[in-house]
Amino acid sequence: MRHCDSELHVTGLSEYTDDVAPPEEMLHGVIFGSPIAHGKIQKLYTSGAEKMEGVRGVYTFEDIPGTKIIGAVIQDEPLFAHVEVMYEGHPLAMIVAESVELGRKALKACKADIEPLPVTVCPRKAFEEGDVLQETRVFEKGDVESVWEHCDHVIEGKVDLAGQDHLYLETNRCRALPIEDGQIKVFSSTQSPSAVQKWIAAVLGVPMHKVEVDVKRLGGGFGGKEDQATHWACMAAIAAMDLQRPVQIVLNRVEDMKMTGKRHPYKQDFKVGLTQDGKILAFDVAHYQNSGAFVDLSLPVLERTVLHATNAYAIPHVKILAAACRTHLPPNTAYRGFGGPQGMFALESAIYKASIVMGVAPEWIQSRNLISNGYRFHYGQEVSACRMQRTWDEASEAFDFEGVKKRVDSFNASNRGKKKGYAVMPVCFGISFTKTFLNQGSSLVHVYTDGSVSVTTGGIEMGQGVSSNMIAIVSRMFGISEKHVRCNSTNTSRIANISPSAASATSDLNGNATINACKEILVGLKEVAAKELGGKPEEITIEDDIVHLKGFATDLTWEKLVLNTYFSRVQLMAHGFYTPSGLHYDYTKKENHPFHYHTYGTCIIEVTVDCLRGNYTIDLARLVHDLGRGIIRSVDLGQVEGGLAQGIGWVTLEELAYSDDGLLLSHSLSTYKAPDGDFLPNDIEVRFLENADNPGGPLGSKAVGEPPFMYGIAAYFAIQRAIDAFRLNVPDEIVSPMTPERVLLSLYDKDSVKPKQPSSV
Amino acid sequence: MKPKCAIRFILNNQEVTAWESPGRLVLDYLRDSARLTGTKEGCKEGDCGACTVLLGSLKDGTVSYAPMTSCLIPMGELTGKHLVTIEGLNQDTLSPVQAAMVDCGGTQCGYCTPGFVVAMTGWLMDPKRPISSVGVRESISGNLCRCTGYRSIKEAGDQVVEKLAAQLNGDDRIQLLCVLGALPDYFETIPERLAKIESIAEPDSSSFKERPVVIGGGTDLYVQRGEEIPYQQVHLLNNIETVAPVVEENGHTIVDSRMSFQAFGDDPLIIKAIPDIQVYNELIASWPIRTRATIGGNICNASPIADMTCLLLAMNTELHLEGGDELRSIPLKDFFLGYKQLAKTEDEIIEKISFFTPGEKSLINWEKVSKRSVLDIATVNSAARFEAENGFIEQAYLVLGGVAPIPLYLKEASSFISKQALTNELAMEAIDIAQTEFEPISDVRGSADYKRLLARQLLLAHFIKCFPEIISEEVIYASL
Ligand SMILES: Cc1cc2nc3c(=O)[nH]c(=O)nc-3n(C[C@H](O)[C@H](O)[C@H](O)COP(=O)(O)OP(=O)(O)OC[C@H]3O[C@@H](n4cnc5c(N)ncnc54)[C@H](O)[C@@H]3O)c2cc1C
Ligand code: FES
Ligand code: FES
Repeated sequence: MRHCDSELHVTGLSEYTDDVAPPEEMLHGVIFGSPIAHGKIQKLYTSGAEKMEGVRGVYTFEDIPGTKIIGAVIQDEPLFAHVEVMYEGHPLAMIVAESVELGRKALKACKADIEPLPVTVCPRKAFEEGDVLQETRVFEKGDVESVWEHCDHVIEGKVDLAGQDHLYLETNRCRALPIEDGQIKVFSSTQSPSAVQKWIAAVLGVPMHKVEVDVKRLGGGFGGKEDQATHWACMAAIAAMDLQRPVQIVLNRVEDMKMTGKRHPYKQDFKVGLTQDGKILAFDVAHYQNSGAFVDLSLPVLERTVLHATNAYAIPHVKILAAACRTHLPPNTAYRGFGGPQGMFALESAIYKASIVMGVAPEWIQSRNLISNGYRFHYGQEVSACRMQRTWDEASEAFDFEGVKKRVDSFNASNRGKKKGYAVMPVCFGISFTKTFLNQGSSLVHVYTDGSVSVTTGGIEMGQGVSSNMIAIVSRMFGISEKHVRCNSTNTSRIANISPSAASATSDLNGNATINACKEILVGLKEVAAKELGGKPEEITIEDDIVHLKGFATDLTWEKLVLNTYFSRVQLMAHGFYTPSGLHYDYTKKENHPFHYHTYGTCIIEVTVDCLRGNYTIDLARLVHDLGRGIIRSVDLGQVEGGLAQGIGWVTLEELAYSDDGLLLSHSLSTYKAPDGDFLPNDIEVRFLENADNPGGPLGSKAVGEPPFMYGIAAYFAIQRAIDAFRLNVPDEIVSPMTPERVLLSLYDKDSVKPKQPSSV
Repeated sequence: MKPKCAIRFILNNQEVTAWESPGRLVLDYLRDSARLTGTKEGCKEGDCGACTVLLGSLKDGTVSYAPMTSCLIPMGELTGKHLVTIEGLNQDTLSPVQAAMVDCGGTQCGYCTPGFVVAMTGWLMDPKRPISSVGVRESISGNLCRCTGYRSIKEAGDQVVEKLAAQLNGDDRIQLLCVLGALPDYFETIPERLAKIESIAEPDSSSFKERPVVIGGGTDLYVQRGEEIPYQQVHLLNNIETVAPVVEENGHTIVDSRMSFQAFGDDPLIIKAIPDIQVYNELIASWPIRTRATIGGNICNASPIADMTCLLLAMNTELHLEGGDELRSIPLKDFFLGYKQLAKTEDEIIEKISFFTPGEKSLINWEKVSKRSVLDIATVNSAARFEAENGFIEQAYLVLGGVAPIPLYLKEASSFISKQALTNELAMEAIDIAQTEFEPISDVRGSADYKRLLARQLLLAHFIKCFPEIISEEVIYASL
């Protein structure tokens, strides 16, 4: 089976939010964002715009009929900037016009008097000034202070880790249509339809049942539309209700890049202590998260940074400081990995530095510290069904780590202008929302009288294949062909109180809910079949669209059974609900169980650096990943490769450049470079663990969306090691991304360039 | 006011007359007016490929197709052309490209997918493009995908190559592709149908009320002024007449300034003159941009990092301008007066460019470093042409881009190294001298320190590549 939308996609016939034929009378909203990063709003001039051709309305903070302040975790964000602008692009007003072109023309007539206020872009600075979003937390296991003196090596360092734009190819967009009786129907490119519903109801001041949110598919989300699709939908809804006409908002690329939050940049301090034989005894790390201007999802993101601060390593003494620092950037938000990558990067930096000091290969240290069953994480959960060592061993053998080392060393010994490097990255990632209440999934399965089946869940199809997985699950549960099954759009009128499609858990939660719904329908189906065939319900199975009795095919087809069931007045639709048991997490407690299970894997990446020009190629990426028993191989493989690609991009090319006054300089695709087909290696090999059923996942599977992102971290250290082979020059501060600029400036001293007038001959 | 006019062309399988402003973008027309939404907008700057379409032009009875980003094509250019969108490639069953994308899992969220399918199909249709694994990868040089990591898309390309390569020999690929089910049959009727569309006259430039915007490929203009141009009068250079191939006269190579980068790199005379031109081209923009970006536009946009301009400066190129009081010529190195300031009047148009044809003694090298190798703007680029024999440099032309307000011809360094027998020391000295000719600034593409360092490295690269027996890679260690 393939991704169920594949044929629509390759023919260009799949419809995204704004592809559906617009109603005749639809209007278009465009956003007037703040031109500066921080300042006091003195006056907003919109009357010029109001008078322009085709403009039907201009909306600001004052025009919000209901709740004016929104926020996913903490209500701290005015829907339109009020009193102060807090980041460049911060929405000040929305113009609604007959066409996008007219709206954009009117935009040019908008002005604002804003008195500039000091701008902070560095989280360390915010921290020093005490501008934090919650009280800074410190987590401890054991006592790091007591062990430094017992370590043979104690290494300290700093890390400066950049953010990352989501760069979903489809920018944020939504369409709001007013309908009878004060209701509104909204099509939104969101990962959280219920959040959109809730906040629209709030800003309009109406009950949630008056708001219907429908999501067919997203042209990519990656976390960027978990919380930040909400704003645009709220704005469109306000205008649509006010004007009683449909309103659509489509951000252009530059607006999307300037106005929406990204992966959190972090600054970090670390101290690591090891024994002579490579055992890590203590790790002390401080995470200064660059949270942006409002809370958004920064706090749960920071929480996951803490949870994954020791990644796949067993460390007896751990201390983690976690500070959420307010800066004048757009509120940073969810992004594949959700703080996990930042947590892991610091420790890999520590291991890399330690390897230099100790004169060993980093993987020598890595391999000596991998977790195994019985290890207790610093958050209290005990490791069980651990497959860390297994993925490491299989990767090491399949990809011949020893051989790679020899090959790279000998290449470097015999080449001057080019150097190779490689690095290994083990990953252990916990699956579940750390906000325990979000771990719930719902599914609605309808079996129609002709035997066709539709399934609706809370899962949002954003390319990750959740709808294909739901189809596969229904087809396997019922024993019928996939062609009988369709997956519907996600809709708040069919499924209530949907958790965001995030935390890699969408397929797990909604898949298990779907299984429950199918089971409920199967009870009736089997009773009807048993009666008809003269057996017991438990003797009935369905395989390949045929009803079987005691394992033997009968004449009863699926279609016939369904029809008989209907005529027997037995239920053919069911709502399934699922929540994993045993989860709890409270950061103030020592004993926690935040994760349903963990997923594991090991990756090796090899690169070649051109030491003349400073650019590099990623030559190969090979990995062994624990997927449980996969549902649809090509879908899972796509998730692993796509995650890897984004991870590599994060630590290499993708550079969010800000001016000192907080303006985003790389705000378009011509300046913000994400990996393309040429940059990413042709040699990508993904192996899945065999015989690795996961009792916690639907049909034995494991969540797959986020964990592979962190394999990309290997690219950073592979390049660093290639640089080291040219010239050992360990930086004081490990700075990511490793752009060609950083490489060249590491290979040579900038002062080695000597301008010189021609000598008079 | 929008100056609208009737534009006649074939859209997929249908003759249409659109009443449109000639400066309006084809992408907007497709999505908003024609309601063909398979063509997606991802950036509106030519950088993502989600909006890729094919444009077919009739010449001598055959139609040749080129991929283009519809977010940068003016409507006016559609006159008499065949515009093909993803919808126009669809048949009752999936084409081999579409089937391979499905089969290999090359689509996830699907937003980028139509662009990939169109680009790959366009590659198969162009007889100049090799049907090979490497070739198909080049076809998607202008397409971004955020979901897949590309391996599956490359595999799809390989699958198409495997399936079709043996059968796609011969020049009439369109016909073969129709037979193979890779294109709908209607493509075979297009030449005849295009011939029937009489091209309507462009508004005469003398009748413009205001000075029109002169548009070559539009790849710079639309990125810079995309919101205004649809409302302005435009003078579309591409509509004048078909671009003539390169000619050689009296030892000079003469090029129509409206030539696209792609046509330039494909031209046999250019390949003879600049043997590595195709390698360079792969580092310049992307395939769908190169089919539009013109040499004249590259020069007149006057960006300090203009890639072709950099190369042409080293070729000691002359510009031939018309539209002023008289036809006149000016050396390219005297054309740039300051940042985006040109030694020409607003009415003057570059008609042709020429350079003396390289011979036995010529050594040419061009270098570019950008963050991403493909489809990225240079941080620093550099070109060199040496006329040399047995290590004796008779004449050197050294150029750097990205370090000064203009594409910079290195006068001092070039003259210093000319009429000298090259040595290691001399090369290093020339490079040190070059460093006195510019003062780079820090910007989003790199810090001043980085640019200085890069400048040295790229100049060094010329010597290493052109004179390997004299200058070896070892010199790069000397500077440590
Ligand atoms: C995605 C993308 C990638 C790019 N990558 C590169 C790259 O790698 N390297 C690079 O160098 N450039 C790159 N560019 C920039 C651009 O493509 C080139 O500069 C191109 O050569 C511009 O040519 P054009 O014909 O499209 O110019 P236009 O946009 O049509 O015109 C540019 C300017 O030149 C004037 N003009 C055009 N032709 C003439 C003429 N014959 N006589 C007088 N004036 C004229 C126009 O009036 C205008 O002022 C890229 C652009 C895009 C969109
Ligand atoms: S929209 Fe991105 S290239 Fe045209
Ligand atoms: S499939 Fe989503 S961007 Fe390519």
